[in-house]
Amino acid sequence: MIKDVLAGDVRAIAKMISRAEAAKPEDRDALAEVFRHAGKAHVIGLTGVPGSGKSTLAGVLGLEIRKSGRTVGIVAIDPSSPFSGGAILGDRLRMTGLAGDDGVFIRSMATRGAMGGLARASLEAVDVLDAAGFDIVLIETVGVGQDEVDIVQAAHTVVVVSAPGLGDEIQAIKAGVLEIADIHVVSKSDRADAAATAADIRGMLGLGPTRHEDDWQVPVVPTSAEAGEGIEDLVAAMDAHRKHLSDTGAIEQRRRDIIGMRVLKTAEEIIRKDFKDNREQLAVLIDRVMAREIPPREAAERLLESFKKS
Amino acid sequence: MRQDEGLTRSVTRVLLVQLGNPVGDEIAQVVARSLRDLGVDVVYGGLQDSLQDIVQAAMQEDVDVVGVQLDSGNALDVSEKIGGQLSGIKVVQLAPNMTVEEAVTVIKEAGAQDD
Repeated sequence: MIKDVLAGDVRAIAKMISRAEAAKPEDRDALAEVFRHAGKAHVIGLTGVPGSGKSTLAGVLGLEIRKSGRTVGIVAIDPSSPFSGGAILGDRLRMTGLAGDDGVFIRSMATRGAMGGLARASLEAVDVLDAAGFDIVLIETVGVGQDEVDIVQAAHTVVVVSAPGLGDEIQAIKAGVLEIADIHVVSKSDRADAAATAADIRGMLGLGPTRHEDDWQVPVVPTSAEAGEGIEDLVAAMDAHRKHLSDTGAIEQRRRDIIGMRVLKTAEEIIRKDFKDNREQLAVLIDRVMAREIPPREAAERLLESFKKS
Repeated sequence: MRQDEGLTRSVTRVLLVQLGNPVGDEIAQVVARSLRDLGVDVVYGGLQDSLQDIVQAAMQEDVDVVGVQLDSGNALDVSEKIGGQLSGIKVVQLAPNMTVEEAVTVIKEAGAQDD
């Protein structure tokens, strides 16, 4: 199975991603082996508010990357319904023109309740595509709302997409996505108000805090998927950013950040799962908090204690 | 050892696509929403150019069931044409005159079957 993944076999890659999603104990060794073989791809996060044109951009980016002879994997994430647990994963619909090319692998994922714009297994899916030899892996996040910016600690290069006329500039400030961008894209640049949006973003870049202590000048790239404009520039900017990370050594810090987030997130997930499985104990503690015998914090500490013992 | 079987329950995955030129995709969209409300992950692929594109999408997405909506002039047996390339994945055909309920039932039943 691992051999087939490393050899780029489509079914094997797809099954391995499903195993990452299912997170069964018997698949742990296989996924650990995948992880050991990953670490070569340039991982790029695409984020932005819903309707900013992320999927369409991911599609045309895929085509442009292929022109340079490189292969590309795309992990596209959509939200699960909080009511049924099901999801409609519609990003593939907008990624036209990539079918029939073995150098492109598109996988849709549902968040299944995970916050932050990613699915729990998103980065394991990235590992699988990375280990399978895809040169670039694009993660297309759920349209971010406020405070949902996990992508910043999931990708080497973060591309924030804004569309003109959505009032994205203000949304972006609120969501904190303005600062996280390594590259800003103004999509739908064939529209008349696109230049104003680009100017707004450029204006705001000079103000707030930035994570770029290392002289990376965040470019603002206007693109039009419709007219096929700016896509080449965007790929050039992504390549330049990757080179910048290597040249300055900043890539190591990014890698540490990504691993750090993954360890913490996984720990959270293990604990949450354990608590859900021990509902009786939780119920007893809730009763005691309800009776105001103990405060919520003490109940939480007791839960953690019993977790450590188990 | 910790017990953590069933960390994530397995969700049925369905790929919903159209082939030929079905009259609008309203039905497919309603089918997609109905399936989602039943807890299914629906990969909505839209109009596909060829059977081979459907095979590729089904493989990449590792779905359990592929539902193919055909236009009225299409007498193709999709399942026969591509089923062989998709071992373990059920291919069902959604005829143009099917109601949403019928389409959902066909997909659900295909998903419930073991090989």
